[in-house]
Amino acid sequence: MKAVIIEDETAAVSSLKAILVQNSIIPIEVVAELESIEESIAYFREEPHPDVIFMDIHLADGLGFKIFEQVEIEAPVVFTTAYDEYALQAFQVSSIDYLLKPVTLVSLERALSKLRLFSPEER
Amino acid sequence: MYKLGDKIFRQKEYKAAIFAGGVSVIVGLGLLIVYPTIQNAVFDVAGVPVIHETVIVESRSDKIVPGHGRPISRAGMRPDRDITLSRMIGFHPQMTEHLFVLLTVLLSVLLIRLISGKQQMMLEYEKLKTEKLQTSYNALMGQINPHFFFNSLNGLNSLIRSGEKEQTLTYLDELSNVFRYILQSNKKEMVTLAEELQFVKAYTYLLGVRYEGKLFFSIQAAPALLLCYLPILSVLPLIENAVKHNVISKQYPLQIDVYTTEDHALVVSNKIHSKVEEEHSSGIGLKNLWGRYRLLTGKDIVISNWKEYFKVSLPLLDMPVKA
Repeated sequence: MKAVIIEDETAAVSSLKAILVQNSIIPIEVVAELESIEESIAYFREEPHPDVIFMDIHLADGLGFKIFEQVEIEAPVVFTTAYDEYALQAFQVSSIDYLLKPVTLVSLERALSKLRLFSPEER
Repeated sequence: MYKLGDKIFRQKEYKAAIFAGGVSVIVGLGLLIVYPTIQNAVFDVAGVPVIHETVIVESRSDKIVPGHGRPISRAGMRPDRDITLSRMIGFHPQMTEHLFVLLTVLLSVLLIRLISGKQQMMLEYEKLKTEKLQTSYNALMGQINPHFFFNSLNGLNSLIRSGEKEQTLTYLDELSNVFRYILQSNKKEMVTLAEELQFVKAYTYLLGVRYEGKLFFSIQAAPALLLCYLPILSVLPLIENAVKHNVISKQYPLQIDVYTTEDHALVVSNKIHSKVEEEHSSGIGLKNLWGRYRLLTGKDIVISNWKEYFKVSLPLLDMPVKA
């Protein structure tokens, strides 16, 4: 399954990538790492959409939700954040799950299981 | 004036008002008595001629003279005092009364202002006290914000995975230093620049790891100024603000400079590259800092937004007490 990570903290990106490699639910390939809203909007307008997006809510240039206002996202989103102030708002966009940082393997696998449940076609 | 007024009016305000009224009346009366003498003296000096007026008094006799009715006698009478008239100014006795009233009013107004001034001062004092408590609380709560806490731990997470033992241990060490400093901050108010910069180094190290390659810090201080004082955790909100409001990305890395100046100030400055969306910022962080700084040092922080650089200048104190 192809994934895009949208996250501005370098350390968080490497953490997430490490866990994605370790997970036993779905094999994941990270095709892009985006850092900002601006970059993400440009990417999703040009490139094919992935099968899943891991998005941090607090990005370098604002809140991740803003991306959805500018461009249609056709992939399910798993939000990651340090603190759960935005749980409800996350579900207004096509969010599958909501992970608290530091992301653990267990919570990630739970999210991926849900993902598999809701998108039966796997590539 | 206020101190005198304050002493007089230590009692309840209505007593003061009665006192004020009494004083006004007495002074007014005194002036009324004294006024003609003064007027004479002034006119003597000024050389205004004295006009003696002869008052003619007509009086009807009580006796009835048969055949003539009641005789009317006229008598010229010089009044007891000369009624001094001024040809130039056109003074007349009513003027004295007017002046008396005016003076009474002025005095009353002055005294009322003294009273309300005192009340005003009391209010200001209470307000400042509450503000101080509020800003201390906010400062504390703001610093242990959950985002900072969990993001810092997340940083640790990635370091552990990376297997970089030394760097991980350093990170953990700096993380404890940061938390220790913050948690102890409610016990101390003023710290040396040396202590505060040590904290800043630890804090910026953590941030540097989390935003590796995208966030850079430079910290420079003149050794002589390291023993100067400033309020604890003054620098933290400035760095947090810079990180919160500016873009930090591989394309646009952020550089924050912390340095001392010759006029005994610590400056935190960064090139501005604002985020497009501002999440509930409202300058509260800066306002709190300004208030706390003022309360503890009596000095103002200086904010400048000029030529793409945002700078905040914190004046340093030679002694840990308010100037």
